[in-house]
Amino acid sequence: MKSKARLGPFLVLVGVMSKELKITFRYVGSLVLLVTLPFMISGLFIGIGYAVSGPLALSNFQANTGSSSPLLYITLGGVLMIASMIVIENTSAIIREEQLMGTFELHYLTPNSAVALWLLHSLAYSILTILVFAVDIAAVVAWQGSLLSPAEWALAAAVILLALLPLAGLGLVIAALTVRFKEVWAAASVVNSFVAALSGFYYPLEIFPRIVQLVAEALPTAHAATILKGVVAGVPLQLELWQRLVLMSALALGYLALGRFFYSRWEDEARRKGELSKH
Amino acid sequence: MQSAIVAKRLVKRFETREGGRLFRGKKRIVEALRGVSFEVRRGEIFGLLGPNGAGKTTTIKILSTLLLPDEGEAWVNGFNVVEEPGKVRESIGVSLYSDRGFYWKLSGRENLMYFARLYHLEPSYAKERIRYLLELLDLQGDADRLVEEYSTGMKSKLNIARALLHDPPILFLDEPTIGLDPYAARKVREVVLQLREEGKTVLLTTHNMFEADMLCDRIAIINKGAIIAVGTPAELKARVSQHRVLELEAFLQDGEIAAKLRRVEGVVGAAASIKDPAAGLYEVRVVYQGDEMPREVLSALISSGARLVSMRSLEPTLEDVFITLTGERLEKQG
Repeated sequence: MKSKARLGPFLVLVGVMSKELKITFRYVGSLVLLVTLPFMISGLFIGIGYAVSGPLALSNFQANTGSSSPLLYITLGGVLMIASMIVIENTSAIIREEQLMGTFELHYLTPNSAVALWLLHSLAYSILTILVFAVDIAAVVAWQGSLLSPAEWALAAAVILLALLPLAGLGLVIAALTVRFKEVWAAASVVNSFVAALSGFYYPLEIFPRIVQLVAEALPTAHAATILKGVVAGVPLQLELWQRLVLMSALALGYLALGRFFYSRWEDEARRKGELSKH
Repeated sequence: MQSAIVAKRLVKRFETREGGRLFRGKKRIVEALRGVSFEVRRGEIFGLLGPNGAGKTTTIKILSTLLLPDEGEAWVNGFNVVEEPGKVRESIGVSLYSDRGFYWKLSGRENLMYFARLYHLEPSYAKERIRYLLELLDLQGDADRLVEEYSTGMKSKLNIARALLHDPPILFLDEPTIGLDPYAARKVREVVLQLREEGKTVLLTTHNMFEADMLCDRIAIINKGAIIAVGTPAELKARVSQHRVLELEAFLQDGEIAAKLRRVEGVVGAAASIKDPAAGLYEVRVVYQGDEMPREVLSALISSGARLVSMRSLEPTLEDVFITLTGERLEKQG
């Protein structure tokens, strides 16, 4: 019997996806929270909106955001924000968590690049959050009595993937910089706060001064939020779709290269200092 | 025939921090390996026997490419561990922990399948191989239970199964029976012996002298980062075959008695380890030349205020080789 498969990397992808999905579905409480949290946040924000603006809330919202549906707009932002947080935090914490379980070093004994393995883990989280996105948004869209076309769903999924994968690069930078100090969760939370504030998940970025808007342009999630609001909630796009997609692709490459650079440097150091297994 | 493993003058230093109050403490350099050299022949079980902190795991990590040596060189299956890490990894299976190294929310079989995929094993081969390994390690009945429900012994056996997934010619087993009940430990030892029959080379670390004596074709005794003796169990024991051993239990003020006993003429080694700290009960092992115990041993014990509980004369074991070479006990450290 032949022992080595020809499509080894494909098997690795299947292995990582199946492991992550099984673990996620076995912690069903976390999954339920993931699916329902965007609705809870939406309810909270809509409530605050009405409390502040009274009967004018809806017209104010439409005038300021270009969207006639606060529920769809905010749920979209919420799903994307939670997805980005999951990818950043999970990728940042991957070294520490796998070290604590004793599985980290074991990956280094297999014939795979560790960076590629961790990026595949991020791909798994991203696909999982796309599923959550599909469930949440389908529910809101159906409740409003409309439907998205298959092409719109496909575009939304592709945009989310293009926004989330680069964040894995950011996660690897955090992982590499913080592992020695064992403070990864604190660092990931700080980065997540910046990403959440500057991506315009819940408000248009135009409310910020120009300099802040320019910084936000460097975040793939900011472009993703804008595109998704355009595709799903009908908010007009200022840049052409293809221009945003090109920008997002360039950012994706940049972030991933940065993640690989920092992680590889840490990896070399860790093999010298014995930090691959420290916990 | 080319050796399966060659280590030449391996040196490894670690930086640690100590004494920090509010922030991190002062840097200190710890020399974990101080010029470790040995060779492992193909098809043999070679044991690294030494107490905790002796450098056994550091040696295994260097040989399995997880750690870079500061000095020295090593080859596994003919491949240099620093220059050809990929080829080394293809040749080895490594079991580093007895009860860690798994995803707790996956079953034993699912954990093995995950690692089989990481090793690029063809799916139908992987399934068959996993079935065979689960049977070999007596885990077939528990294969589909979540690892979080496994006992330490089951996890240890699963660790060995994982190391064997890709059928490597060389195996590194780091303390494979530590923390196991006698039944599980016996099963692990049986599997190790079976692996030798299959022609595999096994490098195992242990601080259990009975295990080393029973399993290993040859043993390197390692202490404080240095190899202090290499040979077959019989060769090592021959070093103390002209000696006798006195093992006694006594209430003592402290463990300094061992140093006093080593100064007695005719005593070639002595070590004390505490058995009951609250009561001050110690176990003392004295290795002496010839058949008759020097009278001064008893005098030294009495003069130091020892209250003897029990005393017996024994044949020397590997532990006595260790005591003779280092003046320390093997199993009661760390």
